[in-house]
Amino acid sequence: MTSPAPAIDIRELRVDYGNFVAVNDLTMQVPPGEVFGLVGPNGAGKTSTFRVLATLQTPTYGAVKVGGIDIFEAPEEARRILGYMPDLAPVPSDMKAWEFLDLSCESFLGGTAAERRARWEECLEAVQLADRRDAMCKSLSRGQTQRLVLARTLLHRPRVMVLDEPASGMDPLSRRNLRLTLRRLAAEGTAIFVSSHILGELSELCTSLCVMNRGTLLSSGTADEVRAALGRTDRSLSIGVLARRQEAAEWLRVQPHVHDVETQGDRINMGFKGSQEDQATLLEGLFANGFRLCVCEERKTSFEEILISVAEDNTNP
Amino acid sequence: MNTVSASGPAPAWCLWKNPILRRYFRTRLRPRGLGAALILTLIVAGFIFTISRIMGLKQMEYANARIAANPDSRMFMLSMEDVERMCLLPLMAVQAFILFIVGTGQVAGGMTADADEGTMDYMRLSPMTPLAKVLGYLFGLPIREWIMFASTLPFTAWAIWRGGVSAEYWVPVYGVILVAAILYHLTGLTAGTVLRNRRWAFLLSMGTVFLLYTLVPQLANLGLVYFEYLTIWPVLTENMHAFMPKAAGEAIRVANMFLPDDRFFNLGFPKVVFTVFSQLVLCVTYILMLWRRWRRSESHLMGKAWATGLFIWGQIVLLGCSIPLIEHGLLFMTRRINMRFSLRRLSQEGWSPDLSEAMLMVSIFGTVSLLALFLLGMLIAPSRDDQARGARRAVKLGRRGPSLIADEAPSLLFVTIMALAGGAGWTIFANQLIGSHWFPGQVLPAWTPVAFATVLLTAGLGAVLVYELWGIKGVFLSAVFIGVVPILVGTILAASASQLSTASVWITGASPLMAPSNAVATVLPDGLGIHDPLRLAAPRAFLFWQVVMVFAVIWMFAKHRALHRARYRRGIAEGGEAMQAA
Repeated sequence: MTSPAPAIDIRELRVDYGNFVAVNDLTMQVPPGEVFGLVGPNGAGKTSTFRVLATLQTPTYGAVKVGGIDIFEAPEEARRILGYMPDLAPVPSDMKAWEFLDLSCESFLGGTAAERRARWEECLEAVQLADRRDAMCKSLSRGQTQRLVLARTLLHRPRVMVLDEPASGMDPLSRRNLRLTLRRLAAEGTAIFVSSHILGELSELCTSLCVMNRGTLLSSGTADEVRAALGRTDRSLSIGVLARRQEAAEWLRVQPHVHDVETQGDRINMGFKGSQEDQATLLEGLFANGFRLCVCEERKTSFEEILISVAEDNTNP
Repeated sequence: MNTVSASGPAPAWCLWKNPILRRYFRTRLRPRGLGAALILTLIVAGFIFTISRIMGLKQMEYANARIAANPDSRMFMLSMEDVERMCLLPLMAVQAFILFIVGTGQVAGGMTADADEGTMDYMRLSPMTPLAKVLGYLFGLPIREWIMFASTLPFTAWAIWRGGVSAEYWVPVYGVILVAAILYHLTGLTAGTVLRNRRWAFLLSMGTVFLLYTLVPQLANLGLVYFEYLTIWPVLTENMHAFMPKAAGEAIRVANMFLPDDRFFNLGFPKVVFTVFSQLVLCVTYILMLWRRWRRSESHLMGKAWATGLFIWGQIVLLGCSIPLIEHGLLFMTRRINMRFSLRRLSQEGWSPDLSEAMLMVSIFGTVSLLALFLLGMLIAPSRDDQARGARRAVKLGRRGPSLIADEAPSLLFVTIMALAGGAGWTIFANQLIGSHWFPGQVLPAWTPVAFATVLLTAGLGAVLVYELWGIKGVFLSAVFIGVVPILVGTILAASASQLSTASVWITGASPLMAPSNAVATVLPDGLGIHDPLRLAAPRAFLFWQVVMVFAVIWMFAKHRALHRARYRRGIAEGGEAMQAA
């Protein structure tokens, strides 16, 4: 059985600004129904990639297909199936919320006024903004503006959604609703390409992730695959020893794969670089030496730490 | 779940279904804003209408009473039709103000506001065609001004009906006003699309409208009659008599008979047809510029082929409108002024133009051609970033360079074609004018076309080479220190002492802007009518600076080629590294 054609197919994409290479020969695919997160420090090339995908910018070279449509050859066709939500989503100051949605509905779908109204009301309901339909866009709060623009993005039922920081400014309830909405859309087969600085949320939301830095794709795959690929197998171990705590710390300091051993209250914290097998051997050694363990906690490197480490690589080339 | 019949956006020609137009119907026609605008317009139009009628009625009563008392009185009898006509021209001024000034400013400002707020991207993302977007903004942004204009029309319609103005007069005038309004709005739309700052867009659009449609048409008095057709003046002056009381209108009509009856290559087009056609050519040019920007936001405003065609078309219409007027001397400003004020007949004897006036006209033709070449050259020249992108793309695609008409391709070939066409047009104009029966014995030397073409080639190529090599900063510095400063220094020298006038000619000659007039002085030394040292200095300075310019252009061209090759090699090297990395 052949795998479905990718919803987003980017090949050898390059974007230059003068001598600065914003995106350098990026190649990646996003299958339908996937929520794909794009992570990277500032200047990594995320927004340039998104703007090219959204048909707002022409790259130096490269091929980009959305739903099988070449976005440079048939941009109007591609726009019909694309939903793009820009960062700091702007709204027109002279329009009411419903007018803004009606304009988008008309420019994407056409149809009668009643049909359009039914559609934008449905989208307003989906983002819990129905009670603000007659408000002027400029009077909406930051979070409400984000939700309004999300509603606009949903209007024409895009098969591919490109969302740049969709959750910024949203309260926790709205974020949860956003998460649920995106999951529902993905379940219906929509490919969602999303970037966010709220990385914990991104790893919760996304089925796959990719990390970019200096215009280059460092890694992509599931969260664990990305961790492994970026060599961030580091984890922290925290153990509780009932007695002879100082003696146990001294013993641990000389063990392989162990580093930065610290005693903190009734716990001993340490960094550990070995495999799961090595970790099991270490724990067996503790028991064999008569140390009585009451607890052992393991903490994996977070995406935030990965991103900080990538960003630090930028400052220390 | 709701289902919208996904018919897609309406096609461009379906203007009433255009979403952008409908957006502005909503936002610009809200009761409060529209109400205030309409009240203001109706007060002004109503005042003009009423006061014109009252004054007209009083004037009619007074004049008719005077004539009844004294039949030999030199006053003209006024009828009710005359009274009704009195408000037509003031109302037209108000209408022109609303459409041309307020409307154009609104278009430029509104467009920039959309870009400023970032909401223009939403329209870019919509699957509407670029043409539909252009038309939506063009007619949507000034919708309130069109309604304001329409609200004054009942007064005009009343005055036309009761004043007995025939449709053969008001249809062409109002037709041209409507076309001119669209042209001016397109100017504003282009300014608003190019600039990001709302205030600058407003100022630029006003400045461009003032320059293109007020100042440049004045060049009609200096031999470039075509520029008048970019305004409503030719059609308005031809029909103005019908918008005035009959007696006064008759005087205007008779005066108009003595004015030049401009005809394009003597082909006999009605003025209204030629005016509308000329303005439509410019409208199409603006629409194409906007279409390119909507299709691809990084596009140059004008494609290379279109810019070259437009330049050649400009030369043709300038010649076509000017040459037929040479025969009767109507091209000469002194002749026109003379006739306008003294109503002397065409066959008036004893008048002949001065050669210096002809030289001035030939110089102005060359200068205008040079400025047009600068403008179009800058529009089609690729920046350094564009060129680098083009080279990388070409290397990636395994080509030797971008296609000839691509935005990233060098503009040198097209600027050369334009310069040669400009040189040819300039020579034809000079030949027709100097070789006419007004200047017996004056013949242009055989090398005139070479001199004229060299001026345009060196200056035009020099400007685009500076841009392509050093970017906009290079152009700015060159314009200031090579284009303007020599003229200022030369002027100061000439004004401070007559002995320094020769030095002044040499220094001002360094500016390419002075090259056209110095070229004319070189091919027509007799026309200078000045003392010998200066007569010799102008041609010598011209030749010296042209040689300097030729060497400078050759040096820049070599540098340009070397840079192009280096970019290509770098592109190949980058490609090789990428291959190795892969």
